[in-house]
Amino acid sequence: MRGIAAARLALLIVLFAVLFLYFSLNVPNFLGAYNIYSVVQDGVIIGILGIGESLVIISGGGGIDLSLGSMLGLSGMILGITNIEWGMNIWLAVAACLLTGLLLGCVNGLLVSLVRIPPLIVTLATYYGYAAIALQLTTTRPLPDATQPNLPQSFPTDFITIGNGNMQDIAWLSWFPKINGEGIPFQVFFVFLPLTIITAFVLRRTVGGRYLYGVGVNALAARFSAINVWGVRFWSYAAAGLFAGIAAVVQTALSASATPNVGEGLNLQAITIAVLGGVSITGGEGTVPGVILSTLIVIFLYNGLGLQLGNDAGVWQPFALGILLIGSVVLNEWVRRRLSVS
Amino acid sequence: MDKTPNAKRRTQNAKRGIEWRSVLARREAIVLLILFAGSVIFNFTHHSYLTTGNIVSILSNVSVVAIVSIGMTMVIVTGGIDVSVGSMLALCMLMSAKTMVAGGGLLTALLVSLGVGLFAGLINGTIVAFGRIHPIIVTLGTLNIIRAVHIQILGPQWITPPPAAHHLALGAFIGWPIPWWLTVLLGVLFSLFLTRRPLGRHVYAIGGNTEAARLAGVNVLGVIIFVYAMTGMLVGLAAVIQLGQSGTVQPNAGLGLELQAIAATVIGGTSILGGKGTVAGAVLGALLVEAVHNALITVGNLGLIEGLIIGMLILIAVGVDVIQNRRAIRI
Repeated sequence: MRGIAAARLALLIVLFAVLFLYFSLNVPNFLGAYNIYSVVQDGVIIGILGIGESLVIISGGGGIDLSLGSMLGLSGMILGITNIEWGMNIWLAVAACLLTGLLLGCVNGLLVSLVRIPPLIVTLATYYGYAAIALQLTTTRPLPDATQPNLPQSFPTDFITIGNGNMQDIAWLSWFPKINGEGIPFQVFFVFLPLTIITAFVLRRTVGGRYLYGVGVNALAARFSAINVWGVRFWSYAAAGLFAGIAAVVQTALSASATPNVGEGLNLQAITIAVLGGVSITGGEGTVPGVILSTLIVIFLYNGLGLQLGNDAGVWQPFALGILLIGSVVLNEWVRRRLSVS
Repeated sequence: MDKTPNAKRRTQNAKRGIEWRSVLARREAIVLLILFAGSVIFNFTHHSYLTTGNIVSILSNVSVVAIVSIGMTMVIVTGGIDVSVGSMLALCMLMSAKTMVAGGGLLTALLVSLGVGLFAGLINGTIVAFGRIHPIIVTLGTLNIIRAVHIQILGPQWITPPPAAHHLALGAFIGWPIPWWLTVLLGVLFSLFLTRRPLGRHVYAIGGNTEAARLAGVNVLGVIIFVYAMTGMLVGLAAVIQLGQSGTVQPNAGLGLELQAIAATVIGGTSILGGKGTVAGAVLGALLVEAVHNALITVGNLGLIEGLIIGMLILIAVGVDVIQNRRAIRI
């Protein structure tokens, strides 16, 4: 186990280094401070989803969550509606958004663990359903809505800072050095970093985290050890929903608008990131550092291809993602076989 | 004479005709019942629903999804899944449209489309069978790769080929649309194939218990490649029908088809765990999904929540199945 995880991490580091080096040498603006800054800024959203997806896949039993993007879209719309249409305080609206994400995740979790419908089917259905509700809420219009002049035309500035500010904007952190004039994005330092540290801690050092791996590796053995298998799985789906809610807050703040279909393309990316990061699709395997590294690989690959190919990038980015997805699973299997032989 | 209550009940059941009960308990019968009852009830408020014209249009529109879900049924019965059918449909449509633009007739275009579908399906099947990778990962990957190839070949211009497939897609034969005749024909053929031919039985055997099937001498890898390749061919046929119906090839052609096909399949009673399911169920499931779609359009302003309703249909269908077979599902 340990050996596989270490080999995986080393492989990811090499892959990231090669990619980064290739694009730095071949694409003129790739290494610019502004480019790196904005890639990281965007990357937080998909990174959060990738970690939520990993929790679900680790829980085993065919665990997979196809509805993350839809949950992101729907909880973002709740944020927009409560704040812009109902005039609720923005931080209450953020709380409502997080709660919505958690609730949607709980619905997935209940259907999986209580009714025992296979996760692929549950999240396929809710992928449809949540996206439909998000579209229906405002009949596809984004919020703030320019066609409704009597409503506020923007979110409060404090809130927008979550997506567009720098960590150095906070007075007591302003001493932190800037790199080429660009600070560290607010959401990286105050959202992504704490979230990954907490998740890594929970997975490695708490009983609940160890239960999650135990359930994923061998559900029957876990049950005979008096672990509540379906309870653990329920919480992994609930957590994924909460993570989608958090990602929705960041996304809404970043684009300064709540858009119903914003999560459409994110499901596949989240699964790719989890699998590339070494999360075994059969459950019980995967680490937070691996997922962070694979997030970096995916976002810089997307960005590098975008800069290099210009208008054609829209074609080759999904192509590369597909190759990466299949390639990473083949690689996973290969590494596993090699190590189990020796 | 045995007077225990159980035996009594048993004799009573035998008198009432227990066969009817087992027929009515089948998923196909339930879907058919919901379809009929729902349409009749809906027709009370919207009288245009059960007119000949509307029924013909439902039958014509359902064909693409129904034909694809015949293939999807076989794939899911083996315990797999194919989410790349939407992208495959787009690429097949594009290549057959290119053939028509180059002057090819319907038959040439159809052969090209079948060939492209077969090729894509063979790739899916080969990676699933030999790579020992979970089918959803493989086909999620090929979904993107094939879509990229499609958009790259298509370029910025939409293609509007000469209407060679017009008659096949929109024509009628004895009152029914030709695509629906094709669907029924394929449904019967594949039903017979799956229930009567050794290879068809092997499809179920693999889904029921792969290891047992292998030990019994079933060529597991071969059968898996076969079902994905067959699905590719069916997508190729559906693509020509779709091309005839829509007239153009767009970058987002076939988007979301995989979800419709999976919905139709599981609503029709195919177990996502493999080993169980019928082609007839899948075709009826596709009809139910299309009827709901059509009804929502008839009502108007509800089109946006179609996804919610299809999602709930999927959950109810599978939920009933799961609750009935609680004991079969282990931890």
